[in-house]
Amino acid sequence: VQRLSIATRLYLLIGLSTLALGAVIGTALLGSSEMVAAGHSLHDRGAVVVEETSRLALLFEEQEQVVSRASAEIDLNRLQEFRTRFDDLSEELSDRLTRLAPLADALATKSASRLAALFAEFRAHGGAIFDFAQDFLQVKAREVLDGPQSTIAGQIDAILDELLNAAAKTTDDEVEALSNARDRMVWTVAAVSLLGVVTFIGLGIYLARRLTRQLGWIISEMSALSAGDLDSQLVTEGDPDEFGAMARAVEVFRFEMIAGRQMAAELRRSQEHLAHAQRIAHMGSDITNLRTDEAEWSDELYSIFGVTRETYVTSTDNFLRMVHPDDRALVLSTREKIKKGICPDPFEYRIVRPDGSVRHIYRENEFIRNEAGNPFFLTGTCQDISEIRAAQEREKELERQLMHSQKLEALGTLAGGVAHDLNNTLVPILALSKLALDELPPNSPVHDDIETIARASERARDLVKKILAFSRKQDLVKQEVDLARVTRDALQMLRASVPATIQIVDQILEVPPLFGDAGELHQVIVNLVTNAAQAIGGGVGKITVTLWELHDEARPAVCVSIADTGCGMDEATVERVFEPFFTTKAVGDGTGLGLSMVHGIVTRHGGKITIHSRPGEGSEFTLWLPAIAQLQTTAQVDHVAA
Amino acid sequence: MEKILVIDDDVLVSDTIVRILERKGYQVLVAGDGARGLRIFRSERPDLVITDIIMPEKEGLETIREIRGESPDAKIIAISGGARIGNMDFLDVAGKLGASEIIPKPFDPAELVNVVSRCLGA
Repeated sequence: VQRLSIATRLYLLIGLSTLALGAVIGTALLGSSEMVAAGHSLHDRGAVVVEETSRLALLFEEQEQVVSRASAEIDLNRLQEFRTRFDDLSEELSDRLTRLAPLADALATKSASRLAALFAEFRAHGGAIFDFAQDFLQVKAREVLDGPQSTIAGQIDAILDELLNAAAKTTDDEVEALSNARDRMVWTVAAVSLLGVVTFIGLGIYLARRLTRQLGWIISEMSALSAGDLDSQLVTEGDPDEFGAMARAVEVFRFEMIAGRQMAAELRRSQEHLAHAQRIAHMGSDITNLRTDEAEWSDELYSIFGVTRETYVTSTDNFLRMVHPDDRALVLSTREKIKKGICPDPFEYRIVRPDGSVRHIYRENEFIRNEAGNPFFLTGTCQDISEIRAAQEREKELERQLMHSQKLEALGTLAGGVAHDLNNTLVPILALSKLALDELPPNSPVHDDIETIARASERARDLVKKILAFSRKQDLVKQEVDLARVTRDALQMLRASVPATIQIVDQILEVPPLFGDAGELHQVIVNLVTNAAQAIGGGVGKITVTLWELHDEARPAVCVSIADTGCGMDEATVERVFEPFFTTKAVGDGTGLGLSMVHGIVTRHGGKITIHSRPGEGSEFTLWLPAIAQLQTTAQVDHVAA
Repeated sequence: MEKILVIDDDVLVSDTIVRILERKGYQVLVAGDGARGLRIFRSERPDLVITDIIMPEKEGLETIREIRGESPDAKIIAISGGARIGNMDFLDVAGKLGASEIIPKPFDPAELVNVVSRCLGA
């Protein structure tokens, strides 16, 4: 049976049950009516027999009376009347018997034929009686004749009685039997009907339960699916009926859900990959609807801009507010291009995050065009290249420093060579001029000349010494130095030589001792303050000398700052200021070696110099010098300072 | 009369030293480079050697080392115009190699005479 549906099964069940029940009831009704009919017929037949028999008995009784009265009659006329009557009765009896015969025979065997014989005999005897009467009536004879007649009459009465009894009895028995049969049939029909009803109900219950069970499976499966459990599988899937079909449909649904879940998982993985990639590359992305200006940002883009999806609303105005003021014009110009349908080339701009930090962004754009080729979406990436830029800046600075130190090194070597040759050349000039002075009388006209030569050669020697101080890393006389004291001493000396229009302000704090050469450090302070004074020139100005201890670095350090209100320097000057012989002063006013010496000394002490200067805004030289890394109490520091 | 050997490739320098020292009564021998200086030292056995450091052929430091090797008691004064090897000053190196005194160029005649007489007197 291929796919016998539930409905078909129900129809079949109900139909067959109805048919069977109808047949049973129909048969029962038919049988019952037939039996009733049969009963009636039997009853009628019995009644006919009884009636006919009774009629026969009445007629025969009249016959007997006719015979009896005839036998006593002497009037011939009367006798003739009796005779006629007797014959009529005999005829009627015969007729009636003939009609009754089949019924009578059925009730009492051969009673009819026996009656017929007896009737015939009675008639014959009766005829004889009438014949005797004809011949002068012999009463005696008659009486003789009456004898057999009475016997026959008695036999006939007996048979008639028997027939009457038999008829009555037979009818009652058969009717009762029929009634019993009918009762049995009624019961049988009731039982069969009951069986049918029970079977119908049973089958109905079976079907209903099966229906409920399979529905239950499907419902539980659907519930499991809706709850997200995709592992359960229906057992009724193989069934050919509607439940099978439903189960297969549910299975299809389940597979689709599994496929959907896999797709969702794949999508999630893909999104995570993208987010990871964006985070690692510091690259955010966005897409903007050019018609509505609505923009959608990736998570990384929010974090690059230092804002959150919850608090930041993406809009052109909000975006432009975050763009660095110096780069707004650039960003706006790209916006103009986009409005004209031109996709801007990649460009860089800066943003200022809400926390104030500045980030460098590298922006690339692309249009998404509609079928007509008109741009309707703008998509792009923003890479945070701040670290790359910072690294490039650091690299550039290092390169600059390296180049600077290499330049100074080369100059130092050159200066050292020049100094060596100059020193050799100065040997005869200095030595021989002095030798000559010793031997010349003081009043000699050339004495002063020679003395000038000697002084000039001494100056030349000092100059060469300065060159060498820059170029040669001669051994320092290193010891514990209190820079505060050295600075105070230097300033005391300088106050005497610096013009009165220049105010020297000192902010000297007690600092930990350095390991170095006090004389050289003294020279550094003197040189820097002298330079500051020369930068101020003849006008009114101020030189501020500050000394403090710095804790920022890994090792303790001392900083000295010498700031002036002088003319200041441009970048090119700052760049070259430590080069030997570089000077901005008029020829003869300076050697161009002062700051070279300062640089050499500070470098030899393991320190650094930084310059902040702008033309017209004065200059500030800041020295950073490592201090002795040891524990010292304030008292000891004071002692050293004293 | 004490004999002093001056080794210097710069004639102006050696001439100056000769003039100063001869006026003080010393006998001064001159060599233009280390190799010649060494030969004169071996033949003349001077009481004092004054040598420059940077010279062609055999330079001063090696000369000092060889003289000191041959004659541990030799008195040597190193003079230099201030050249150096890296961070090391030649004059310091000369002192370590056995120069008794070191004098940077240029010098006062009195300074030279003082150092010379101190060396010879010791």
